[in-house]
Amino acid sequence: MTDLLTHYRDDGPLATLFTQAGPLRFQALAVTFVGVVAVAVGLAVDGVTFEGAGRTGPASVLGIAAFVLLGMVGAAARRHRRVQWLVPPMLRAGEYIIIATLAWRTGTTEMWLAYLLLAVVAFHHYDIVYRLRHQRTAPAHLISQLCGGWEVRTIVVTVAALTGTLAVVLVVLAAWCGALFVSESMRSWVVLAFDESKRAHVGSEIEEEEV
Amino acid sequence: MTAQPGNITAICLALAERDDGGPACLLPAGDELLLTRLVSQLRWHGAERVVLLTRPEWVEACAAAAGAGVDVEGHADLSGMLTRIADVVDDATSDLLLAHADVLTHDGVLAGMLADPRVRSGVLSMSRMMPGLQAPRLRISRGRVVASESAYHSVKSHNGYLLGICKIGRADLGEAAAAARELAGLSAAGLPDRWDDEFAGKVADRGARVLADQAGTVVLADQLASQGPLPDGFPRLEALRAGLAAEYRVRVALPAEALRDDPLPLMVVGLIRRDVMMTSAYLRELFWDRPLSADDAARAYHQMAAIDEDGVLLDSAVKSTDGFFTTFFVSTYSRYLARWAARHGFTPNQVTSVSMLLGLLAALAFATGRTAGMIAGAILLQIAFTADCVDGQLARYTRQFSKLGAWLDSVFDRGKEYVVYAGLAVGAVVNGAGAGIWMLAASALALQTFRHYIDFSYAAQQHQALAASVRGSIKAPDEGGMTTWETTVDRADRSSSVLQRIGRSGIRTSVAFERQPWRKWAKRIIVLPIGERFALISLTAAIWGPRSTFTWLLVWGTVAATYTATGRVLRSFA
Repeated sequence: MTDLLTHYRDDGPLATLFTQAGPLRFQALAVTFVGVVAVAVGLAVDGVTFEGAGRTGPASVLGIAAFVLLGMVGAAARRHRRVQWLVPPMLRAGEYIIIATLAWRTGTTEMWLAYLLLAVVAFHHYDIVYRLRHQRTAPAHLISQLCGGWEVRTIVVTVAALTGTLAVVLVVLAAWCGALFVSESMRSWVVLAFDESKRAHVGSEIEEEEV
Repeated sequence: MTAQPGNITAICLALAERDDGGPACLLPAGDELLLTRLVSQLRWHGAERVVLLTRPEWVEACAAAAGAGVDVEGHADLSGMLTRIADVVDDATSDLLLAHADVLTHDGVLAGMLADPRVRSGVLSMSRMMPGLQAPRLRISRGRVVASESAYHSVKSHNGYLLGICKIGRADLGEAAAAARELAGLSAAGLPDRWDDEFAGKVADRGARVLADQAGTVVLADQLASQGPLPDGFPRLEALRAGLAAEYRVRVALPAEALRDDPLPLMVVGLIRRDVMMTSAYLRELFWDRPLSADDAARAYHQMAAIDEDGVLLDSAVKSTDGFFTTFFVSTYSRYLARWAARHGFTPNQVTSVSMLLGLLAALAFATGRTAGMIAGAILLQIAFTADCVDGQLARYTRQFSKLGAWLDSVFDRGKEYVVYAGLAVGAVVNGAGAGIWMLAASALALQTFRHYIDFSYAAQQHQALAASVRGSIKAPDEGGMTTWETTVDRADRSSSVLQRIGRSGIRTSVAFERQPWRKWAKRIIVLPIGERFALISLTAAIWGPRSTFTWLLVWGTVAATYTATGRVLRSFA
């Protein structure tokens, strides 16, 4: 049984590779936090000093690389006994800030396309939680392979921003992920309606309601 | 309200003796008897098989009262009864209900347990003070029953009482049968060590507590009498003593005798110690009693009839954890809309869908960018929010819970909000705004999702710490030796760190701060819950426009995120 916090991470194929490397001696919370700080500093430094197209310069790239790498290390690192719960929100913050900032610096079209992609990704992130809560199953593993997980999406968007193909990539990514996220979620509800007993359940019911 | 379909099995236990002899379940309840009333309630809520277990000498009377269709069986001892329970559990194919046959309670109470899919396995409980032996003590932690009393088991501390109704979900039937067999084996072989001592201690302690007042009067009267003739009009000593004896019989002796052979609390202890997740379903303001005399039964029936069940159900359809705006500006009237919707046959999912549709219309109105559009959008968003409150209240009021419904409700809440952000951004672009407004919208979305993930993740870790294990041996009369999550926490306490001390004092401050109601509401407003957020969006958009809406959302949201995260980090270390 995988636990809820692992599901909430939304790891893609690359981060999953790290988990296969076995438990690392780092503290997951610490490395993830350093990654988020690195990305904030990198994006801020470029915003002030770098004057190139789209202002995605070396500092941004370094910051993003650090975030992705450290976040993936976090997937395999030691868990904090008390405040491990800070990790998933940090992964959300990193991915969303990167997508929004890179698009903002590229152009108006890219910016609203980025909003679209964020809305699609947010749907998936809420869907993970709500389906675990109400259906007691997580979205299919195949989805995280096909739609990347936080780390692959971040890498794809960054490469697109660097190669000047951000608009196209945002459209394709939003359409592809949106279609898969929504259709897979609907499929799960149809399957549930037909057969409830055959499904593997994750943990016990969680009775929180957010506002 | 509709009856629930289902092939529920119900096991009723008629073990308590009434004060003038015979089973208490044959006491009158209005025009019926306690037993017949309960059986028809159970049937109404989908019980297909009803098995009544009683003492051998009461089989005839119970069978005559219960009528056809109820299997009435007599068992001379606890072990026989538990073995029989295990067999019935084995045969069950769906949820199973274990209940005392002499319980007098509202329909809504049984419906709440049987129809609510969130209670898979659980017990009916209440937190009001119950001094006697009729309702064993429980300790409930975040909705889970972590310790329970039986005749032979004690709890370290308690914050609730077990009200003689226990539901065992389909998935837990295996554990239930195993628990019943284990208990049957133990009681057949003579009770384990210390079990009898535990029972005797409990009866003495609880008996003294129940009769403290009356016994005091008798002692006082005895002392007065020894000093000379009693004053005129003073109750006669014999009458006082007889009254005390009768009181003792009804309040202590009979309940104790019923508890001694009662498999229900034992089953609850067995399930908990086998690590079955037992939820607590609260009685709230509804009525519950187990009368043991005709007088008590008449009084109880009268009290129950005086309660406006519909009003209580409507009140409890409103969530007590809602924010300030929702509680005082929406729920005050939305509950009546919910009742209206229920009477006109609307389903919660229909209301949810209407709410989403209104949210989309609000977004479209905002997207026009015109003043009239902003005002229309603001109003539409408020109507959408009202509908959003109505759907949940309607679901709780009519007990139409569905997994898909709950998912749709949550997803549409988020969908509405983020579609409105997009609408506001488009409206600003129509008026000449650049990429910056989309960046503001994206930041607001990112911040709100981040805040929700703090909630989700924190709850998940708390939940898993709690769900860890309450496993323990059924043989131990106390909780000692149990590997409860609390003992793990206790162990951690010894390595008390600075963070822990800060966390503890933080919680103390927080609890002390909440003593005054306005401070409690202030705390709920700071975190900008959905009601406040939607009100903020409507107000700022209608008055100043989209840029101001996003600025407010970001500033307030950042304060809220900082406040919540800090508090929860401290709480995690405490």
